[in-house]
Amino acid sequence: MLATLSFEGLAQQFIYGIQLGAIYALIALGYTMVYGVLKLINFAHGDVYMVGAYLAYYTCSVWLAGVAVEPHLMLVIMLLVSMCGCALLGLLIERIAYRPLRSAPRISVLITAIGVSLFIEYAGKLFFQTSPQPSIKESVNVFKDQIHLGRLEIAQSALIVLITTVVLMCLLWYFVTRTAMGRAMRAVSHDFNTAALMGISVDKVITITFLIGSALAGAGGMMQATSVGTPLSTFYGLMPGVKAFVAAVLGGIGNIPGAVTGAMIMAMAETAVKAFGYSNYTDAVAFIILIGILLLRPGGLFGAVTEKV
Amino acid sequence: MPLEAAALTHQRFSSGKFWLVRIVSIALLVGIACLFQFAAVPHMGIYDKRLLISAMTFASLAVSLNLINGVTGQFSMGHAGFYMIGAYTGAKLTTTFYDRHLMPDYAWLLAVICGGAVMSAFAGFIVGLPSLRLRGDYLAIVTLGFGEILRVVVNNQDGGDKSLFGLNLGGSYALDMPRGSRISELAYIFVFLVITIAICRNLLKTAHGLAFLSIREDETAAEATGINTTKFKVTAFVIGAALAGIAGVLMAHYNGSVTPNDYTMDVSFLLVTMVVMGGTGSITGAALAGISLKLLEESLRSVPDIPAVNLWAAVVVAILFAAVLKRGGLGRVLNAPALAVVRIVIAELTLLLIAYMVFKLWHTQMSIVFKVAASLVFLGCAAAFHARDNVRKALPTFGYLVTCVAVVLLISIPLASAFHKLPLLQKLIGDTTYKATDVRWAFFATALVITMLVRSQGLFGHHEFSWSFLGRSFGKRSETVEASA
Repeated sequence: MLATLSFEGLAQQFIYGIQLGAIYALIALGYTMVYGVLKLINFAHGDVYMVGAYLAYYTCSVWLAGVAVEPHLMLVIMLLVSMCGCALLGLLIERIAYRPLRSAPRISVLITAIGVSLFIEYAGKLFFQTSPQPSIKESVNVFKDQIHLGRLEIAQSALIVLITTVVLMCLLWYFVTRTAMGRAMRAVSHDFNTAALMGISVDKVITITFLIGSALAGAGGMMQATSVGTPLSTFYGLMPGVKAFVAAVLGGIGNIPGAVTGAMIMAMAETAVKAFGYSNYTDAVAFIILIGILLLRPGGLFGAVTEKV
Repeated sequence: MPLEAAALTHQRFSSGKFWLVRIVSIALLVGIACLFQFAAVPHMGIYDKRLLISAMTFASLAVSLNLINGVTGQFSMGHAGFYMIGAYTGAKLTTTFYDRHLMPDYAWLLAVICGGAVMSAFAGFIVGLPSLRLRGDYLAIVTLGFGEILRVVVNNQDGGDKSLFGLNLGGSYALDMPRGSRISELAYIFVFLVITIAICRNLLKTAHGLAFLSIREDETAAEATGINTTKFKVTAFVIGAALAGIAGVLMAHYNGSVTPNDYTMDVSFLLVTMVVMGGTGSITGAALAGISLKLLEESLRSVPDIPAVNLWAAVVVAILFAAVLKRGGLGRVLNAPALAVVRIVIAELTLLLIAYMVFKLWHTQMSIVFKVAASLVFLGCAAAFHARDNVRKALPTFGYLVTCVAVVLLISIPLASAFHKLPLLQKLIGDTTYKATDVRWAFFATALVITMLVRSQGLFGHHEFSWSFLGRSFGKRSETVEASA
């Protein structure tokens, strides 16, 4: 199978990998930020991504179906609706499920996170259309033309996804390193209790963290659903969520550049496995990478080597 | 073990009473199993029998997971993986080597059980090893990953060229049994459930059992007192996995087929839900939660689509009733003296409504299990509300338990579509119907989150059921005697 891959083939797979990596990075950032401040694996994060994809679908195919909107503007509206809706959802999850457990044992919070994830997946079936599985119409994606670079073909949408992701990440970077709230966030991440003693409103920081993380996941969901057009279901976010989590662990959880790098590595590994014809095994590969990294270098590539307590 | 303890143990083993209790227990167990097999089973429908069997299997799985999650405190979410290994080992052995002239069916089953248990125990050993380095959520996700890797690998081997190293170990296939005979029976599964409970219970009664508990309570302190935490953590995984493997063998042989879809992440999640809701570390809790949640899950499967109106009405009623019983939050508002009348009216109306639903339920075709459970819950709700304040304070668990079950019931009763759609609400919500299969999982998730928020140690906490309260009510202190060997 390797023989069938030419140089162009490899480069092509590389480009697919980068596009997928951009999406994983957006989700992984949410995991890593929430872990940074709360030391909590937010299992429901993948489901927030799913809700983002559904919101995009409902925006273009149901709510604004009869309205004549300029196609590019439509994409922007979809992105904004997904981001805002997911931010709201993240806020609700934090307020209802996680805040009352702030001082509870970690394991209770973890179980709650699993419960929230299951709830969104199954209660989502009551609200979202699941059969027949809806998918965003191809006509919505106005960037489906291919750009030719020599013998390579790059879909415009892949480029747009990449650009949007980079812009969002730059905004995030600016926010975290250059604003007062960002500094507060880093302080909380460094030492929760001391930050609280220094007069930082920890609850506010956590709320903002959930808002931003969820909004990024929503953006990821919208872009993936629009550019790839996979049929949606309420489990749409399950595996991407798990893989993004692996990416976050791979890069060193709590570490923002690490999450992006980890996401790229994960996506490349997955595309490679697919390219070699073992696409059924991609889910297993994600877990194998996870187990490997946790056993060999539990701190991740960029994290401090500490025992995962 | 200190000398005195050893002497005590020796005394215990040599005393006549100890052996008498054991022998009577075992005789009782065999008697009940025979009663099941020869008196109850012939009169049971296939559906009811199946319901009972899967409930007992899941109870035993929950008890074995409880040994890892609850007792030792190692959060494992890959129990379905062990269950699957047992099932597939058993299935492969039976399809390859089974010969009914070689040995009788029960001997063969015993042999296959040993095979399944050994394979699962080995897997438990492999999975237990990372637990030396990983804790909490990381261990959880690694064990989850282990279960998923196994399932993906098994799922992708469906005979022919897809097999791994020339061995076809996966896929869905029927156990190739002559005459379609079943060698696993309800009585065996019942006996296995009791044995599982007995193993876990007896383990915890020994000095070794305390070592498991000490790891959960404080690993560092346990290590400081000279406990080999590594050994005990891996042992917990090995025993838990072996028991799950046996459950897998029995279930696969009862079903007469294996398919990877029976061992998805959902199974692991359901098992974790059972352990957590029953009370982490409580065998009684795990067993009861296992039986009741599985019964609920299976019986809700057969229910027709639910009108959305009824579901939402039930949810609102359940929340109001819970609020009336609770003291904080919304309960504080409702419990204000000025609102006493409102509170009483709400509660009594809710009770009436539940009574009406139960009454209607008895006139439907639902399983008898469901009807009896619903009636019990109604009595519980009535008791919880009408109990005096001091009684209610003494029974915080009971009040909460009733509330939780009431939520279950209130959501599940309209599933039966026993009564007509509420006309007024229907105008608001529309004519949507929900699939019962979706609702049941949404409910389990809600119950899980509520349990964590309200009583994070689970319904039973670390407590066990014992008969000693009977002795106390007769005015004498009796030793705890359980119907287990």
